[in-house]
Amino acid sequence: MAIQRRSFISNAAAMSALLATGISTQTKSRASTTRNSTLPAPDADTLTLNRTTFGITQALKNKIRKVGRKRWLESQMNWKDLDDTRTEAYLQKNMPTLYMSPQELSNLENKNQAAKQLVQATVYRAMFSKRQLYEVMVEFWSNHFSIYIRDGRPVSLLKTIDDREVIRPHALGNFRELLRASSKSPAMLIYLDNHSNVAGTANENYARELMELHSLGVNGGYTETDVKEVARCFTGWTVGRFGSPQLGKFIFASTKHDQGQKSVLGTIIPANGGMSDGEQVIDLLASHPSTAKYISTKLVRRFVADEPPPSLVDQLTETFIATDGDIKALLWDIFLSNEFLTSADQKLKRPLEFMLSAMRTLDTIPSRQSSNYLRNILFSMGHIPFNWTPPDGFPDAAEYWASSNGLLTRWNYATALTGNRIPGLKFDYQTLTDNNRDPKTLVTILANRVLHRPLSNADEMLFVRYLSRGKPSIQARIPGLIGLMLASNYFQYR
Amino acid sequence: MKLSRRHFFKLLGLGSASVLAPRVLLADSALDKTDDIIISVFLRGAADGLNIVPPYADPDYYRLRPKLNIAPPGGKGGALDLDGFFGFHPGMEALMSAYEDGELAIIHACGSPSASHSHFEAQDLMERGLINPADNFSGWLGRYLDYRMDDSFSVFHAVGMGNTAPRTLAHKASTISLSTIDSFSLLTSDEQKAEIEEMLRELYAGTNMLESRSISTLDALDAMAEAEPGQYPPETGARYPDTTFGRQLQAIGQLIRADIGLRAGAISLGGWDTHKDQAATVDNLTTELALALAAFDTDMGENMHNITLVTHTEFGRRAYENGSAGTDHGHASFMLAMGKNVNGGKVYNDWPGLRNQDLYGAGDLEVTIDYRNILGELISKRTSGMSMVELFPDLEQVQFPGVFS
Repeated sequence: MAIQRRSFISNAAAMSALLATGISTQTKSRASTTRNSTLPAPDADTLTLNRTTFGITQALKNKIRKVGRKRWLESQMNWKDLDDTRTEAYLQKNMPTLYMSPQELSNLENKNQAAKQLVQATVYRAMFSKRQLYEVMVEFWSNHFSIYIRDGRPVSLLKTIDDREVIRPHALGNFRELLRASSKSPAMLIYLDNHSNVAGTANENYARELMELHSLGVNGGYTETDVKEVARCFTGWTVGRFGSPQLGKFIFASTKHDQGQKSVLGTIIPANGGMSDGEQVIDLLASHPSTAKYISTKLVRRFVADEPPPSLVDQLTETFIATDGDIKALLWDIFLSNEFLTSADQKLKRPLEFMLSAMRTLDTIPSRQSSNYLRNILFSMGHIPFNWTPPDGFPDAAEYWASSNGLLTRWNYATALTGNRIPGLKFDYQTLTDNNRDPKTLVTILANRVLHRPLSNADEMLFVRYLSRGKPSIQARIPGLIGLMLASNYFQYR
Repeated sequence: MKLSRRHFFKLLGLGSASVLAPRVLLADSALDKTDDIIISVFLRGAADGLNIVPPYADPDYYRLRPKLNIAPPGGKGGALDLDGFFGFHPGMEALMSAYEDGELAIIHACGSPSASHSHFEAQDLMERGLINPADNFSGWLGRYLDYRMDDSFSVFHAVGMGNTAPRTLAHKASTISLSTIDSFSLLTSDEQKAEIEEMLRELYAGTNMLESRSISTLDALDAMAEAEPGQYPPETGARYPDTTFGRQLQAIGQLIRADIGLRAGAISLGGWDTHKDQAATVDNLTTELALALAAFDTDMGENMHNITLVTHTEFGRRAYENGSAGTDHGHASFMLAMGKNVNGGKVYNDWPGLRNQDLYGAGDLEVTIDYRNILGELISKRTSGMSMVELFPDLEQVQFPGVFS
């Protein structure tokens, strides 16, 4: 099915190209010939940086060239050893809500601050942290255990706790621990209504999504009866309310718990288990082969291709089972695989990745004044962190993000960024060009410096022609050229 | 190429007719009839048909929904009577006049026979018009567009409102997605604009998905600049709610009145997944939905002779309420069809009942009308038609209830 789907998409594309001549009769200028869609591939270092960071910087490129791909990856895996004090110092000074207890959060005068600062801090870390792979994985798990941050006041406050105490401690750790932590996350329990899941009139929301989205996957072998039984197991898993010393913390309300016997996925959970019922469910799910396969598939989709190669998924599934869900081991399987190395241009950057990677490659630093503008860009592309309403998380497939609205916004952002039309953001192209004046040399330098990959001969000529058109001068056209490079297909893939 | 393709599908339809006679219905519509513009409104999250179109005369309704019910017509907060058995949720009030004028039909205990209770799987299947996942990733409305596609189609033939286009419209050519009409332009100086556009056309001149969608986007920018839909404010009296959904439906209206070549549009209203404290959410959402649809109806006026709007939702909610003043995932729900060629003023249903023995699976309202028969009838009656086998490959029994004329 995976392969068939890909061939459908490319057939669809080919068909649409055939039809395009008919459809666009009203348009004026068209490219004279269609071209080969396969771009000259980036090298392994570039591919690795593109997939494991929020965008290549000159410094990262120098580093990976110097120490080699494998050692660079090792250093990223050992994220705690990477010195990130500057990033953390900035956050401690400017984003105090990140460090607050539930009680302190609930005492905030302006309660919108917590969600706002968490979104800003997430983007800030993605942009500036030295721990790039770690931040990529934080994003991955935040999206896997997606919580809509505007789902009411408690969730908007408590997502900060979820980020700090559930996602971040386990992002490069062990899946079982992560699943366990998430099941006791107050923000998750409220978002998926488990805080009001009580004996007798169970609420199935969390139980269903726990199996469908967090562990087994939709066809992972559970039944409607399992949903009901798991909901019973989680009755009484709730969150301390106002006036309680446990405010905003996970509590098990034994009086609300269904003490009867349950049967989950064929396993009998004896009566009077109390809180261990739910814990046993988490263990059953974490050990289930469907979970191993589902998580592996999702990781391969994130790092390799929209349609994950089955060979690599199988390999990861085995590793998942053998290591009991060791996340680093799964990532090593991916990064050392041939499937990874031959997958150039199979992942479209999502809007946040596109936005940040453009600034990172240009060494352009966003400021407080630019944050509203950038937020609006993300908003119009529908990719503000934690702002996906349903619990399945943002898609990670080109089919979703390559929309006309999305592409147009990318182009407009690229030209605004390089045209210095974003308030509070200063782009200086001089440092990129070494004051070179020869169009061909300039295009070569910039392709390497901005896109980090070779151009086809035809596109190199196209860019050279653009620079040499006269009026305005070559020098004055350089920002436009860089904008077009960022808007081109060469910069859309990660 | 296109002609032979269409002939091929016609042959396919006729070919299987001899084997499976009842499944195949070729359109009987006259070929010279203009196709309706079809607008699909997807209510995402599984909207509660039992609360939005309450069967107030079914005694079991109040047994299953002791707290979470709509009272019979008459009292405060009571249902708006539709036919003596069903009522509308009071939030739907803005649609009562369309119903009374016979331009709005309601279809109840309607949905997909798929047993899925997963939002994401069920939405995906419904948008693709399938029961079983299969190697067919086009949307149901997309398949209709593929079938109809010819040289006269504009780049704006299919529009999805929002960040991206819904699967409903997925077809072989590109769908245009836009969040607002105003924001759909290249933001740069006029001289630069032409140059940038030209460069992008060259850079994206290939045939993969990213490239073909990029070219369509550039074509759409040109078409938009020419048609200037922004110059068509809503008709007097059409007051869209000031919400994302309201603005998006208004934008569809503007595209239609700018005559930009729209054939099919898709738009979503989310938030119906009411596991907890359902009443307030459904109050707000029904009001927003009804106001927007009523405004669209007023705005389009006589054009509604050639426009049909349908709403659907992936499944309904459990017949009985849960302990959180909400409802869990269920099965059947409701649909709306609006237009001047809708046989409206009627609740189409084959009521399965709400006694315990009537319920489906874990305690859900049973599906007695397959949503594909509504959409199939729409395509058959309101366009020049296509083979039902092609439109809904795993629909086993074609049975049109007569919602459209």
